[in-house]
Parts: sequence; structure tokens; C-alpha cells
Amino acid sequence: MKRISTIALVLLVAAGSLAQAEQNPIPRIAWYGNLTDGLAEAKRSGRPILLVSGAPSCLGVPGVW
Amino acid sequence: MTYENMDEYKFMEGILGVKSGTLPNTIFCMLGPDGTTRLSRSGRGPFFAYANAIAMASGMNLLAAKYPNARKNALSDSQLPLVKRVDLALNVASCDNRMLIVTTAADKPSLKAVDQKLLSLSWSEQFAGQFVYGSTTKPADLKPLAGTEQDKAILVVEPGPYGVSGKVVAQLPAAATTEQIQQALAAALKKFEPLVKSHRSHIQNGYNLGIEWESVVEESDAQSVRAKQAFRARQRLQQ
Repeated sequence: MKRISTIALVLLVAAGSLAQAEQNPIPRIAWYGNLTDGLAEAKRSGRPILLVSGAPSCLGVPGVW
Repeated sequence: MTYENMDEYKFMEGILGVKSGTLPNTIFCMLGPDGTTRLSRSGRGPFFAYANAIAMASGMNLLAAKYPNARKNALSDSQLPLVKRVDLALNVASCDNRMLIVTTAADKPSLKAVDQKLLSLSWSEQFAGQFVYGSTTKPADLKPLAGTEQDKAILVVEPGPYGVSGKVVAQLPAAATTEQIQQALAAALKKFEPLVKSHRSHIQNGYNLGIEWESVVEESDAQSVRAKQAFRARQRLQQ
């Protein structure tokens, strides 16, 4: 069975500065959902890229990686 | 997103160095800001490059230190992190158990203005990473989103369990102020309760309900294709 971790593309940012919402205690990674925009932002900002891609379905069923 | 864009598919094949038409469904690599310089081994997941999460965090910190702009330019992005299609964004939001924000307008310049209004909030400490984003000028794209009112420009959506439908829990006009948007997003996040999904029963129920996802590029992960065939064969036997 395929094992899918998570989606697309994220640019490295300072540790601890990611996604700690005041109203929601779950920290989240701010992913780019498409390659073109993620690559453009990496070039613009000079940040390296953590590239992770997965398919948004498991055994053909959506709603899970 | 694997299998949702042929150009991305080809790019990922190059990163992994696999034979054409055999891309697996997960891909991992650390790259330089130019998008071509490899900073780690590539593979199906981070475990190809790092022994564990601590080693990965440590490795990422070392990489960030080599790129001074990595820290300086954090959370100051110039665009919304959009998923290119609303249906795909809805599915991704469901997979990620995150809320979805859809921006909509009658034409592209108006849509750009709405997206611009959300930009600073989307990269704020409070909201970065908390939402998946989609954007459209086509009313048909909004059909799966129950409760959408006309003339609203920013829709906050709770995705359904399969990501093929969603419920609009807040919506704002294009004239909404940043403060009004901030308050609406904070209130929606506070109420949002991510679903707990059991992988196996999710898939089984999905088949029973006839819910299937058709990717843009045909799946080429041999292991996954075999697993799908075996799962369906077992299910047929049980019926």
C-alpha cells in the first residue's frame, strides 16, 4: 500500500516562526500547493526548498494522502 | 502535487532520476533557492536523507544557516500559497485536515485585488500554515461548497471527509476590511475541529460510496497500483 506523507513544496523559514496560530494550538507547515509558485518564491526570497510531493488520494479514494 | 500536473511530474522524475513514466507517488528532496541545486539525497520521503525527525530538524537548521535570507525573508512571501484548482484545493484541505479559503471574483484583476487583501494575513504568525488556498473566477468551481452566497469574495470552507464537498462557514465581500477578515478567520479556526480518519475504513467507505479521485496524470507507482487492484479484488470477494 502506498504511503504518502504530505503535499507539495515548502520554503525553509526560521525554526519556531511557523504557523502557531493564536486561536488554534496545532502548528502547521505553510506549504506551497504548486511547484511553479514555490520555485518562484524560493528564487525571490533566497530561501532553500523542502520539496515534498504526494498524491491527494489513497488507493484512488480522496480525502487522505 | 504528484499526478496533478504533467510539468510537475517531469520535474519530479528529474529530481528522483527515475525512468520516464515510473514516478512514485511520493517525492522528497532539499533544493537550493534556484530549484536545481540538490542539498540532500532525493527519495520517496525524508527518511532517504535523514535518520529521524531530530536529524532532519538539525539538517534543516544547518541549511538555513547557509542561506541568510532564509530567516530574514521568512513569512514575508509575495503571493498566496494557492493550489491551482478549487476542486484540488478542497481535496488537499481534506487530506491535510485544514480549513480552505477560496477567493472568488468575476474577473482576474478583481480576483488579484482580493488575493492581495489576504496576503499579509495569510503569512502572519497567526494564520501561516493554517489554511489551504484556492482561487477562481468560475462560479461552477463553487458548486461543491454548500452555503456560498452571491457577491461574496472570500469563502472560509470546512472540507468534507472526502474533499469532494465542503461547507462555507464564513464569507466576506470584497470590500471587507483586513480587521473584519482577520476576525472571521480567527473565529472559524477556533470552531474548526479536524476529523479523525481511519485510513482503512476511509478507503473502504469511499469505495462503498463510489467516491474516487481521478488524477490528471495516470498513477505510475507500481506498488500503489498493485495495492489498489488487490484491495478492490478483496472487496469484491467480500460483497
